[in-house]
Amino acid sequence: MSAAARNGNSRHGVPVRLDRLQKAYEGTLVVEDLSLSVEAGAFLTLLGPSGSGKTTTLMMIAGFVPNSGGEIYIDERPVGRVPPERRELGMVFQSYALFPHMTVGENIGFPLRMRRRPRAEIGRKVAAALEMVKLPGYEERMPRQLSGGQQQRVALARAIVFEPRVLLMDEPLGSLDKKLREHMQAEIKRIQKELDMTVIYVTHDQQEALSMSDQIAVMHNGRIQQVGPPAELYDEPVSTFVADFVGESNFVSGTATAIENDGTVEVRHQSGRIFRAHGHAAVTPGMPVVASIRPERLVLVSAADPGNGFNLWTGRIGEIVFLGDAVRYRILFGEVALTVKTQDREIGAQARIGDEIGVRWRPAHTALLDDPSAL
Amino acid sequence: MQPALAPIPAAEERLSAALAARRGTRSSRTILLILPALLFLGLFFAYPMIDIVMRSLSGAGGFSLAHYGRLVAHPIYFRVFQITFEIALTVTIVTLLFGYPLAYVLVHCGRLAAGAIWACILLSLFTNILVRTYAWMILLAPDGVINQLLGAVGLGHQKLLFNRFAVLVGMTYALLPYMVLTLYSVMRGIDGTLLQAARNLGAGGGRAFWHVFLPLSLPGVVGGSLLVFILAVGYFITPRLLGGAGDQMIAMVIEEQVELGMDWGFASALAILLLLLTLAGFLLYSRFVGLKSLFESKL
Repeated sequence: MSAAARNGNSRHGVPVRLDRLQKAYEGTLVVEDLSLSVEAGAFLTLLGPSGSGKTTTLMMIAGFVPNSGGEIYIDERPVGRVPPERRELGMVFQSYALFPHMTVGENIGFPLRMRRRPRAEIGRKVAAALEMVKLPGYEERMPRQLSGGQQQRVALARAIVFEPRVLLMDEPLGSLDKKLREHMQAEIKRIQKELDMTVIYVTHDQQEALSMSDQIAVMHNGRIQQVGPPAELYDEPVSTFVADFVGESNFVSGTATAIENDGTVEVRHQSGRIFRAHGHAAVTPGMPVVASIRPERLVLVSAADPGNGFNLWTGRIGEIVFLGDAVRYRILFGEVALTVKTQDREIGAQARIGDEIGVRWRPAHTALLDDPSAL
Repeated sequence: MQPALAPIPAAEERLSAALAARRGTRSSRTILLILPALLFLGLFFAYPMIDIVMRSLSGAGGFSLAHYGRLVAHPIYFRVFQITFEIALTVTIVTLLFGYPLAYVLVHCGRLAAGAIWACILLSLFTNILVRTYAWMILLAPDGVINQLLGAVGLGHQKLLFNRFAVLVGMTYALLPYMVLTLYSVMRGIDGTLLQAARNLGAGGGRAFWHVFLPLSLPGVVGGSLLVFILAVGYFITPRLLGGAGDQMIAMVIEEQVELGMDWGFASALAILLLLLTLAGFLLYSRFVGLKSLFESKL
């Protein structure tokens, strides 16, 4: 008996835990030793490029792909051997997977029919689900008569109508245009909050992951690179892969020369330029390191700026790109270049390519990465 | 004012005339493209068709319904039509019963198994119908392999040849590939994620099949059944070689009228009646099943 059924009408998500989950296809591991905990009612995103194993992981949770090792726990019960139809999970497919020979109402009523609910209840719940996705009265339409965005809403309604314990979503917004996608992101968040569902969401779109998730697990080559809340992932990436995949980043390599009392690390670039970075437990003086600095954390100042405890490098403007809401500068420092993204249009007004300019940033905004060898 | 405006309509007329000319050349080019097909169909389909209708309606002194009168007067011909449709319908049902699971397996099995099944299906399809029919004669013969097997397991000697059973076996075997090919092309177009969705939503394997796969495969069932039925109604060699006296199909009677009786007019009347009855069956079928789904199917 599921938690939802036990608690009667109150809808509550349940925790999901993956324990050393593994999937091998013909000898190659596509998901390797994956352990992950999703709290009840949390929104977790599996973020990664194609081929990172994120969809395979979702398919294992749904029960379509058998796991070759490890175990999946839903509400603390192992489900690895439970067939998909008995896992009580809602799923929204990338292609929506609406049944083309059924009306919208029949599609949404399908999970209730499979559970042998009385007709009156099915009709009532279908109407409520359509209300929830803002398509009231669409019961009699056929899926092919709907736009992509409407089909998406119907797929969502069908996945939540039976009050599943967990909602799985596989790139559900992939085929919508940008405006509609942003709108649907907000809608999905609203419905998740309203129903207090646990959601496991798969996407390769870092913007989508950052704006929707409580927790993001960044996946690469079948492994989890880093798990954390969006802000933590963005501000304190542990690897070049995470720093590069989530947002944009400048990477500067060098050698740690000193560690100050508060843990701040002084780094010397091979050109002799010095900068100070946020502390990192594993760094000792003399170690090669790589730092990640977000372009919007860099501030353009005059070449004569005193610095005042900030990192300050002077270089020349190599490129200016107008982005609409911001301006992107490429500043050259001999063999290194830093990308600066700023919304300050004042500096740019008189700046010209080739001008000498200062770039200033806080040591706290300079994250040392775990994998200096990767650069 | 009027004179000043006069040249403009003239210019428009010139323009529309030029456009009309362009349209003209385009449509004449279209005609040129379909001309070979039209000529071929006209020469080898429309003309013979008209000729057969004319022959069936002509007697000693011009127009006559004598051939149709003879058809109605002799209940034996009604019986032959009855046998023909009986056999065609049985063959259609049996090929569907065998073909559906076969096509299902073909769509879902591994590449190696699929290759083996395809080889069997295509090999039989590409083998001459006479060769295949003679092969069945050998297999079903009183001292053939099947009778030897039956004898070995103690079921004794069975009469397997020159009866309805042999006709049904031979025709089912010959027409099964058409059923499988039609079903396969429709089944392969069914999106696998739809079945995953059904499972996810609480349907076990059987219910997912019943509620999702089966309805979506119906266009294949309709198309395959129509194809096999129409082919079966005109079957000739297999019933002739494998059937007994009671398995006379209409095509055999037509052939007899032409070969032995040299009665082209009566043969034509039989052919026309067969065509009309088949068309009537087709219309009846479409009323109940709806052929819309057939033409809407994604192949």
